[in-house]
Amino acid sequence: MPTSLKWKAGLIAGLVALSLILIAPSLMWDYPNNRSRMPDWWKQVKIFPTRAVVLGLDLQGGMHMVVSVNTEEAVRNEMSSIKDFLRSGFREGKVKFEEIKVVGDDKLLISFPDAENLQKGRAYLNDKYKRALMESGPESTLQPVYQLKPEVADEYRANAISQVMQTLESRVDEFGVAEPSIQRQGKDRIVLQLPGIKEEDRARVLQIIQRTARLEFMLVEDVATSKEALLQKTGGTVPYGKRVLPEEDKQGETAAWYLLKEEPKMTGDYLVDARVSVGGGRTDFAAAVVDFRLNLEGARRFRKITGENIGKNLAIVLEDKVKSAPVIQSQIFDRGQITGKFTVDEANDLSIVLRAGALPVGIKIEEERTVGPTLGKDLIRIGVISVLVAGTLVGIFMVAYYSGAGLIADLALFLNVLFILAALATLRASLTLPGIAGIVLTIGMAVDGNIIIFERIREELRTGKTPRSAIDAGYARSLWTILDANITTLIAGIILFQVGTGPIRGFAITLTIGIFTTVFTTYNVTETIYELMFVRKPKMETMSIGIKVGN
Amino acid sequence: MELIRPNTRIDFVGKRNLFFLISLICNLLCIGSFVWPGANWGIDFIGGTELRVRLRKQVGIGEVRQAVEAMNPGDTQIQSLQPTIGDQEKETNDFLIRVEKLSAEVGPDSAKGSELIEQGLTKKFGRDAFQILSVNYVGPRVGRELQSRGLQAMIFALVGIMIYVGLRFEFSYGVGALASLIHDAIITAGCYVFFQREWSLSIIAALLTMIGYSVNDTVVIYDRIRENLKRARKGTLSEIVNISINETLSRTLLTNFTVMSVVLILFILNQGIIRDFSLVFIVGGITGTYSTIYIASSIVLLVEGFRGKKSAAGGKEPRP
Repeated sequence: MPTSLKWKAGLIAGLVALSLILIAPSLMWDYPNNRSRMPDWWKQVKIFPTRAVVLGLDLQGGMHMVVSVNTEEAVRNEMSSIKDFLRSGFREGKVKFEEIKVVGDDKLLISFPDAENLQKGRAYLNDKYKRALMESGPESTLQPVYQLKPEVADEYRANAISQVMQTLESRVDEFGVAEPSIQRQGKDRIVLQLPGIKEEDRARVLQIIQRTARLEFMLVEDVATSKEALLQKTGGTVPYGKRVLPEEDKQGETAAWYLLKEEPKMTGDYLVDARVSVGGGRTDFAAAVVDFRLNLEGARRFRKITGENIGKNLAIVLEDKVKSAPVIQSQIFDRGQITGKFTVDEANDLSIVLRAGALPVGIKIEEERTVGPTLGKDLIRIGVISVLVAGTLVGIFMVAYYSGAGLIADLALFLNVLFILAALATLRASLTLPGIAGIVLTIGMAVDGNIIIFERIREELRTGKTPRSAIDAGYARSLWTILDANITTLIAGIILFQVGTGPIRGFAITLTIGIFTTVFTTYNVTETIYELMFVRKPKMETMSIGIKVGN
Repeated sequence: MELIRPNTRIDFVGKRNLFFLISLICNLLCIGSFVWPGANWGIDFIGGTELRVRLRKQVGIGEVRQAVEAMNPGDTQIQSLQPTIGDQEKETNDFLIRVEKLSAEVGPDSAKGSELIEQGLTKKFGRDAFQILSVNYVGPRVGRELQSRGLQAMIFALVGIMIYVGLRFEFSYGVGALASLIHDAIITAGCYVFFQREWSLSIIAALLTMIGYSVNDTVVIYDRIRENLKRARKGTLSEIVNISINETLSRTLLTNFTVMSVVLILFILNQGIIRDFSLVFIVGGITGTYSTIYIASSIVLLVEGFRGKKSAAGGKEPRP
């Protein structure tokens, strides 16, 4: 046997063995319970893989979501806090001003009474806000406009996105999603992939992800049954530093309106823990409540607020709605309780989002693709049936048309599918439903290479060549045809991979892998098999390729 | 077994003008179908919500419609789905509920559509009578992006393949390959539009793959033409082209046969996107086979005719 042939045969045998090792865990995987069924001795060999091929969200069930982050809100929030700081800074520095106003998303319009104060104001701004603000031209002589520098604005936007990502990550963690993936996409988007979400949990997950979970504590100044009644007493508008918020009853109808003081600020940011406890008494009426604990700074503030305002009402405001407004009986230190008319699930979800923290800015779901595990199982079954039926049919056809040569092609086809699966396992690329379709399609297209070669060999045989030289000529003349034919499909596959998302990408992956394995198996593997046959029978007179050969 | 006898000589290029005319008419009709009846864009491109719901009791499609429309989520389409192959639960029936142009209550771009549908179904049938199998929501912003990405992909693929064929063969072959590709793409897309099948991202993916695959056949014939020119066979270019088509005919038909059979299996066994996907391949396979045999090489002859050359050996010589 020539050395080069030994190498080739050895390489193929090695690849087959490697592929079998790579896909063994997938074949033995206990999918319903998501655990390995490999024997212990296997697990002891450290280099052996133990995990199955990753199934795409469409097959194992799960949620794929694209959310956009309202980054402009982050810029706006930042501007309004700069405004507040500036206001107190001017007061301390004895700079007189008439008004400070946020214009657009990222501009401040400051009105000064005279040139002297304008000078002082400018000097103060240049001193303290040089890094963040730049003068972008006056509205009029005494009204300079300051703009947030674009790079600083970008910083705020980026911060908002990473904060949102962190918050979402801890929220889905707390909810108990195994192996979630949260990735940034483009300028202002986040892609969440949450495998294994059950059908009945979808609505809750959506809620948990979307809610801002802003918790605030505000002192109550006044309360009335309608907004108008409340505003009448304040002269028609909401006074500076105050807010008017509703309280909802059990049915979700507005029950009362509160006039609340914004300062001193006390928010859920100081929370260290939140837990559900179900109130005692008759269980059917027992409302679930959420107990929370504050960190040191939070406790300090809370102690101060409650200590100074005994006898007054303190409203617990969640997502701009008053949940309750109990009277402060005594100074409170670091613990509190949110009561409302929660069910146990609602209270649970609330404690999750409170523990994970509030979203700094709003988010919006731009795209959602969810498949429940039930449908996923159906799809896997159909996928496996499709692969088997397609493989069998094509296999039978090849043998019927090319007899012995067809068998060789079938072996190549089998190895082809084996290699594709092994490559998927190695790359840890997920197998999606379109991905399975890609494998089925590859089965149909792969035999093309062998058809090209076999047709060529038949032509050569008809000219009277011996099997040996017909096979040599057939392979030699088919190589570039096979490569050309596959490269065009490869171009389409690569473009699909670039453009596609999720399942489509899964299709592009199997298609692309399939092209490489196809060229290898239909050309190199079958050629090696023929060469091995020639080693055993150097003077082959006849060959089985579906037509009459020789005498 | 032999499908095509050796030495078969069917005159494929002789009547090329007739086939050009047929193809031209078909292409114009297909382009026309984009005007009328117009493409049925799915939610991937125009945005909307799509739910696949499994009801555990026998319920008519009318009742489902009532339940959903009571909530007024928007333009609603409901479709009854057959149970999947080998399904254990016989009593199930699945529905596909699609809402486009979400109503004012839902808001134009919110994921609330599915919530409303769920509420409607709960009110009518009770919470335990149904299960939501899958949800697809695409916001209008994402829809527009997907539209342009799909179009980009198509253009890149066409150009990429043309460049490759142009590099490997002569200019006229690149033109021939591109013409037959566009021919296949237009006819497949046109049939899809004509039968009012819904466009989705996977259809674009299928079209792209179909294009990449259908050019294979063309390339195989071009390879043969080049080889036959090299061997300096006697005869005009058009005779050599015709011989080459005939020599590769059985391969062309066999390959398309195997692909067609696996695609048919996919079509029969699957539902939803995979079924649409295989439909593209079925139509594309038929027109691809036709265009490979009748159009691609004839275009080469046409272009060469314009250039006034008698024969032209293809570009770089590949390794023997």
